[in-house]
Amino acid sequence: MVPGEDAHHDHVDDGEAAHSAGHSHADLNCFAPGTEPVVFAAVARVSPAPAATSGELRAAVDSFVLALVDQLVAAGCVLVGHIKGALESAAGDRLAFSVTSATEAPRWSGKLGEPVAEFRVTLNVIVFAVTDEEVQDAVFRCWSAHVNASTQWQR
Amino acid sequence: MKLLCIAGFLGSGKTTVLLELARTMTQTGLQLAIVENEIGDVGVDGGYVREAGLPVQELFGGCICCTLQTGLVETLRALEAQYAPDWVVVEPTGLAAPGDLMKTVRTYMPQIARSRVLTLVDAGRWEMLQQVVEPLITAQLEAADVIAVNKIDQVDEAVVARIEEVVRRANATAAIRRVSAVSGSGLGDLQGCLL
Repeated sequence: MVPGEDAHHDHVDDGEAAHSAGHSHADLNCFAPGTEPVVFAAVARVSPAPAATSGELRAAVDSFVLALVDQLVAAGCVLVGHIKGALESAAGDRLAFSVTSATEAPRWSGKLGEPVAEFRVTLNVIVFAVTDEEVQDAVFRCWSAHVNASTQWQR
Repeated sequence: MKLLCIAGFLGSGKTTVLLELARTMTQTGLQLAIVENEIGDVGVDGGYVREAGLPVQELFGGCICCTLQTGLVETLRALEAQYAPDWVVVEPTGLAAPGDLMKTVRTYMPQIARSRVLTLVDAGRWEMLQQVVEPLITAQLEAADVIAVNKIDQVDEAVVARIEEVVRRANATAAIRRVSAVSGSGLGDLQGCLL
């Protein structure tokens, strides 16, 4: 056992998708009160209806991210650490995106074979000065509003 | 086995730089293994590394500089035993303090022959990050052997010069380089400085 292990390990086993990013930097006060980071990480199985093209999925996720950022900023978010994700097909194709700004569209890489009838999405959001609940609510609400697909969120 | 830690705030370009350095290092015949750490319970960046054909171990759900220290040590020992790489390249989360990480490595992995910390600076978001997370950014700079001011293509010369002044005040001894990981500018010089 390494000294210090698990002293603040509060974001692994609590069954929530969003967590305050507790650190134990003993001599480093990293964040001003009220501006601590919140981490949201989740996986979902997604079935577009009807099957979609990569371009349609990119457009939908672009809209999702922009709406998510708008909602988080309205809730008081002062910094987008990152919002990133990967869409992966059963065949192993991968389409990934990332954004680190409240004012820019996501950057994309990779591709998915078409048509896309089902994929797995991994989402990772780290933002500052909002609550776990605000982030989780914003992700689920914006995803439902902008991605036309049956979505089963998993842990 | 030697260790390279690529630190820097979220979105500073760690994974992009890692992939480019790894590509050129493997071309010279070096054997690499990668450790990807994500503070969330699931990760995205490990997929990029796997796509590049590199052996990668992922550590999720915490930070290897503090809450996952044991996981880091166990992972390094496993990589050493399984792959015996020339270099293990560690990408901590963007919230990590690399000084704490390296204390763990030096204490529990004394067999590591050489270790280097590269800290990336996001030139495009410098002012905003200074306002919100300045203590963390400073800690990341203080622990560096080499500091790369990244995304220089997004800002003008005066901004880069101002950043370098602050960086130099935080760390008087580190080598400072200017790079654009996306265009590849400066990465060859950076690698020469690191290895």
